[in-house]
This record gives sequence, C-alpha cells and structure tokens, in this order.
Amino acid sequence: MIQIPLAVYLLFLAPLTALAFGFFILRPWKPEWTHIPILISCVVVTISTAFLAAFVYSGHGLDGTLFRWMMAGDWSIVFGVRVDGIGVAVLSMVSLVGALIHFYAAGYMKGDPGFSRFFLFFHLFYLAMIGLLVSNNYVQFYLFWELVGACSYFLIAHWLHKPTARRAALQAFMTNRVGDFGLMLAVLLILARYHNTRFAMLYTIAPGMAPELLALSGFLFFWAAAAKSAQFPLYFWLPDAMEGPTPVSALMHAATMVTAGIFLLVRSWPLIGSVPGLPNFIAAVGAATAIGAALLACTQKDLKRILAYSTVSHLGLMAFALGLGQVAAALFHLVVHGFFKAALFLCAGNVAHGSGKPTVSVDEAGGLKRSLPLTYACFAIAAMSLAGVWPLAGFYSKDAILDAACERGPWAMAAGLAIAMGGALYISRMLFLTFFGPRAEQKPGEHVHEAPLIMILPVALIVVGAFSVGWLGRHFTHLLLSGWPETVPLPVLPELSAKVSGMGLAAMGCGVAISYVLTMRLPSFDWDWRRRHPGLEAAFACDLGWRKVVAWFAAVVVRGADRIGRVFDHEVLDAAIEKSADACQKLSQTGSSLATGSLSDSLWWLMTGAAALLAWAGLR
Amino acid sequence: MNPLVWSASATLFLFGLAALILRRELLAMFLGLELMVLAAVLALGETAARLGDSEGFVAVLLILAIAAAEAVVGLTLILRVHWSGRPPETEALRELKG
Amino acid sequence: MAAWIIPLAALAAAVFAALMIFQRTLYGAAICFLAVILQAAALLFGCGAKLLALLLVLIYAGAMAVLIVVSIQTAQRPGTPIWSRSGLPRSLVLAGFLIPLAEAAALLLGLGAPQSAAGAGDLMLGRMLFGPYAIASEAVALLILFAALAVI
Repeated sequence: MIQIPLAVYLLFLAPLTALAFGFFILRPWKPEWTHIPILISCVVVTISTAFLAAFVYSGHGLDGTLFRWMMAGDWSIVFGVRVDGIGVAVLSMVSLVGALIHFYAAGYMKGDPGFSRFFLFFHLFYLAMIGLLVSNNYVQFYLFWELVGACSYFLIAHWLHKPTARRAALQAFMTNRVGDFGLMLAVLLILARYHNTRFAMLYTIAPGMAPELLALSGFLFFWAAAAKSAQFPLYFWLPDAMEGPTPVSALMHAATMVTAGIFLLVRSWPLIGSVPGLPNFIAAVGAATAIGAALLACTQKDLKRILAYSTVSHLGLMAFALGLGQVAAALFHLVVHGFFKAALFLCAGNVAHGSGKPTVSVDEAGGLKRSLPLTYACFAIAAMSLAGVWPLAGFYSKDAILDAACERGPWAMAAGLAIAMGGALYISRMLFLTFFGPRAEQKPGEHVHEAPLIMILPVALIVVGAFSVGWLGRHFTHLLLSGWPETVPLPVLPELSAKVSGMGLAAMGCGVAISYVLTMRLPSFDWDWRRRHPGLEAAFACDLGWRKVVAWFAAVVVRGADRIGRVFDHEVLDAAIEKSADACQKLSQTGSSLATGSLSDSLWWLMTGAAALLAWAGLR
Repeated sequence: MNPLVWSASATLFLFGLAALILRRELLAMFLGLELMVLAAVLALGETAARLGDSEGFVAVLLILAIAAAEAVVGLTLILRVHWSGRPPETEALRELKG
Repeated sequence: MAAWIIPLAALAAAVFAALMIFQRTLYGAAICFLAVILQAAALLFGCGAKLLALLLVLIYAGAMAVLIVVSIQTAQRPGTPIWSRSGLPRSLVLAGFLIPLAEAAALLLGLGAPQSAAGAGDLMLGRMLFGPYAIASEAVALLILFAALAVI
C-alpha cells in the first residue's frame, strides 16, 4: 500500500467541499458570498500543489489507487492518482494561475446577476482540470476531460441572453464532442485489448503493442487533442468562445481547457512517439496551425479575438515542439504560455472593464496608457514575454523549441522562425494599437478608469510569473525527469546556443519593427487596407475560407441528420407504426364481429372446436 | 352388453347436446347440459365396473359431486337472470357482444 | 336371468332423452330428465356399479331434480302454460315411473344379480377416497360448500 500524502486528498476534497457548501448553503441564502469558500479552496489547492511539487522535486513519485470505481468480470476501473513530473509541472501552473484568475473574477464579475452560478461552474472547471492532471488511467482521464468540456459549455454561455454566446457555446461543445469521440474510441480500443488503462501499465507494454493498434489509438489521441487544443481542422471554436466573460477566456486559454489536449499528447507520448510518422504529422499540423493563426491574429480587430488566435498559434507551436520530439520544451512552453496568456487576457479584461463593455475592439481603444497605466505596464511585460524578449520567460521556452527545429532541418527552422516573427508581429501590433495613439479612426471611451485593486493584484502576480518562469528551466527539467517512464527517454531542455538565440531574437525584432512601422509610422494602415481591399478582409474574416468549409460540412451533416430524423422517421418508421396500428384495429374489428355474445353462437364454436380436436385425435 | 351401454351413453350425450343447442330457454339448456354429464358418468361408470377399477369409481364420484355443485351455481345464475327482469332466453345475455 | 333389463333401460333412456328435447314446457322436460336419470341408474346397477347407481339416484333424482323443479316454479312467468297435455301423454309419464320400478324390483330380487365382488370394490373405493384422493375429496367438499354460500 502506497502512502498517499494528505495534499493529494486536499486537491479533491477542498474544491468539492467548497462547491457543496457554495451550492447547498450559500447559493440559496447569500449568493453574493459564493466566492468566499471557493477562494479559500483555491488557496488550499495551490498550497497542496506546491507541496506536491516539492515532493516530486525531491525524487518521489506516486501512482496509487484511491478506490475501486467499477468492476466487470475480470477487469475493473480504479480511481487513482498519478503524481509525477509532467503532471505536477502543469499542475503547479494551473493551480497558481487558476487561483489568481479566481481572485480576479471575484472583482470582474461583482454585481453580475449570475455571480453564484458563474463561480460554481468556474470552480468545477478548475476541479475538472486538476482531476485530469492527476488521473492515473485513461478512463478517469476521459471523465475529467468531458467534465472540462461540459463546464466550458456552461461558462461560455454564461450570458445566456446573448444569442451569440449560446451559439458559441454550442459550437465549442459540438466541436469538442467531435474530438471526445476520438478519445473515447482510443480508450475503448485499449480497454478492449488490455482490460486496463493505467498509464504505468501502458508505458511498460507500449514497445510491444500491436503496431496497428498503437497507430490507430495514437492518431485518435491526436484527433482528440486537436479538438481540445484547437489544432488546424478543429481550431475554429476557440476564437468564437470569446463570448464568455473574460475570466473564463483567461482560464480556458491559459490553464484549464486548451492545455488539456497538449497534456493528453504528453501523457500518451510513449505511445504516440513509437508510431512511425505520427510525430512528423503532428509537427506539420502544429506548424501550419501556428503560422496560419499568427497571420489571422494580425488581421483581427477585437482584442480578445486577437488573443484567441494567438492562443491557437501557441498551441500549434506546442504541437510542433511535441512533433519534433521535444516533450520537455513543449511542456515548458505550455507553462510559460499559461502565465503570459492569462496576464494578457486579464489585461484585456481590465480594458473592457474600464470602458464598461463586455469586449473591446481596436476601434474603441487607443492611447489607453495614460488612463490605464498599471494595466499598460502589465500588458507590456506579458506581451514582451510572448514575443520572446530576452530575458523574459517566453524567450527561454521559444528558444528551446527553435533549437530543436534548427537541429531538425531547414523547413522546421523556417517554420519556427516564421512563428516567432508572427507572434512578435501580432502582439506588438495589439500593444501599439491599444495603448498608443489614439489614431484618427479610434474612439476610446470618455471615462476609461483603472480597475480596482483586486483586479490589478492578480494580474501583477501573474506577470511576475510571465517575467521570471523562464529562469527555472534547469529545475523544470529536473522536475520532469523524476516522474518520466524510463522506456522512452525524455529529451531535456537544450542549452542556450548563441546562434539560435540570435536568430530568434532577430525574428522577433523583425516582427516588432514591421508592426511598429505599420501602426506608428503609418497610423491608419490598419484601416486603409481594409477600405482598399474589402475582398481580402472578407477572406481573413472567414479564416481564409476554412470557416466556410466547416459551415458547409456542418450544413451537410445537419441536412443528413434532418433527412434521417425527419424524412426517414416520418415516412418509414412512423408509417410502419401507423400501419401496424391500423392492421391491429382491423384485426380486432374482424375478431369482435365474430364475438356476437350469443350463447348459442358460442356453443356452435365450442362444438366446432371439439369436433376438430376429435378429428385430429382420430387422424393421428 | 357393453356396446349397448355405450350406444345408450352416446345417444344421451348427443340428445343432451341437441337440447343445449336447439332449445332457447336457459333452464332447458341447463337440462341438456346435465344430460351430457350424465352420459359421461354412465360411460365412465360402466367401464370402471367392468374393469373393477376403484380409481374410476372415485372419478365418477367426484364428477357427481361437482355436477351437483355446478347445478346449484347454474340454477342460481338462471334465477338471477330471471330476477333481473330479463326474458329467460339466451338472447337476453348479450353483454359479451364485441 | 334378466337379460332384458339392460336393453330395456337403454332404449327407455334414449326415448326419454329424445322426448326431452321436444317438450314445450319445462315441466315436461324435467320429468323426461328424471326418467332418463332413473334409466341410467338402472343401467349402472345392471353393470355392477351398485353404489354409483344408488348415488346417482340420490344426487340427481333426489337433490338435483328437486332443485330444478323449484327453479322452474320460481322462474315461472305468469301466463305460460304449466302443463301441456299434448306435450307428454300421461301414459308415457306413467311408463317413465313404472319401468324403473319394474327394473328395480327385478334387480333387487336378484334376477339380474351381477357377479362382481362388489363388497371388495366398495372397500377399495373407500380406501381410495380417503387415501390418495383425500385432497381431491376435500376440495370437492369445499366446492359444494362455496356453491351453497354463493347461492345465499
């Protein structure tokens, strides 16, 4: 029996207690206090996570069963925990950033009519992600994976009165279902073959698994991750999911939702990595996603949509790194990205809050650095981190990926540099457009005011992370190594090389320079090209046509479903049912006309029957 | 000897059946019914006596007793029909008409 | 040796059964039925089933005939003829009662003396009734009780 530390129990018990207390006691009586137990729970979870990180860092690992969940015949599914390097590395970021976003949300959502509902779902979202990160088998993982999807649905649709919010939530949920189906198939495949889905067991037998099963399940895992982590064929739900409140976007993009897909790939890497060709495929898809999304991010006008495409781009970068075999670099970038992306989203939320609107486009911004100085400072640091300015965190993680790309070959190097340049371009464009100016076309609000302390302090703390997490690279590798299965060697974070760093910095500088020219030197460029080339703008608005393809595909599916549901159901199933009812009625009418109720008629029938029986007996 | 009893039994049975079918008054039909039971008892009793089989006698006895009970119930039902004010013919009983 | 008894009884039973069908009045039918019962009892007696014959007379000719007659009287509608002279000649009624009497006398005097070991048969009957068939007997007794209750 493995000794399970109290911190592991606290990871589940604290949120569950807070949710139960909030739902059963505070929601009916004091809905505006719902956040208090939840914030306490966040603190407890963060402290427990810190303890677990220290536990793993000091060389311990944990893979134990909490209880037997269900049993069927000779196999069973257990509810367990796996505390190892990769789990704890992501868990630390998720719990810390998530907790800070909770505090921010307490300020941002104050006075909202759905405050209590929002916080309960928000915390359930957080709990689902934590459960996902410490699962030790695929079935449990799948449960939390679905819980994450369901919570995201409720949170994106938080403002139910907005039809766009409902539509976006439905789109996100449906797209995720498409991916979830892949994960479910993969889990069922493994379950049917091995009667067990424990990661520890699968890692040891992965080299000996049947190649076709391995390839199929590996591909299905990537399919699921592509939906959850917004990779190319299925990325489109993420920018639309901006309809939710800003803290939801921040939590979803930084900590809880989209990282789940990358985490799934990392968890399954011993399986996926041994499929020939699949890593290259993942790298190609990731690079295409990253470059395309970076390009689209440069053309967006809504602040949150810019950030959403930026997230798609960075997820593509993580998938690219994974495809190159750089598990550690991908995870490191995931953690760093969590910090700076959360900070950027919360700053965008502050801008919206200060302007008194749910969302702000660049038309309504400009010159905000005077009225929102603290937000400006935070945003600038986080943006520099994203762009990869030395010595901020983003530089280190991007550099590790670039290093791997350069080793791989010219194509990979070109893709990496393009991604780096695109990232710098769109984020500095956003920075310049929002906080400098204003330009002739921009109309910032009259009384834009700085956010209250509870919305500034969490952002500032996250920005500290976005600034400094990069320096922990060596310790990060150490943390990862203590829990990684030995069968597949883990590539450690590469050492900095002057050549690669120089190239990365040059690409970044190039991007920043371009955006500086296009936004500051030519202040109305962003509006000019739209006016001059409306066709180009339309192309960018539908993501270079991909949205049209998706809409067409969805329409085909819907029409097919309609045909099955309405036409087939109406004319075949219903008709059969009605016909059979008619036949029954006819039969019963005929039968009832035989039952005259006359005693002598009955006697005649009786006699006929008796005679028939006698004749039969006589003939035999 | 035996064929004589058998043919008597068969004749009684057929006449009972004829009475049951041809007559319209409930009481007359009831008499036909009893006649059929009697025919069956006669045949069974004769066979049991010829074979000296006690079980046959037991069966006949039980049939007799049941027939008595049945007669009691049947006659009571007929009287009920009479008291309910309906004509004593079978045409009065048509509640089972579909 | 009264070999004539069984053919006579069989013939009489058939005749009275046929008469019963065509009786217009219920009383006539009841009398014919009674005659048939008596002839059937005679037939059984002639075959050696003395106990059965006696029981038949007791239950059918005694209890049930009385019940039937009472029912006919109760269910009588005013205006229907009680007795139709054309239906059943008095001579036939007389015959219906005289023939059984003659047969009974002949049988009791031992003219037709059946040869079976009736005593042993009756003993066996008792043993069977209260041995293997005890439950059936009880059930039938209960049935009669319930029938009586139902009437009430």
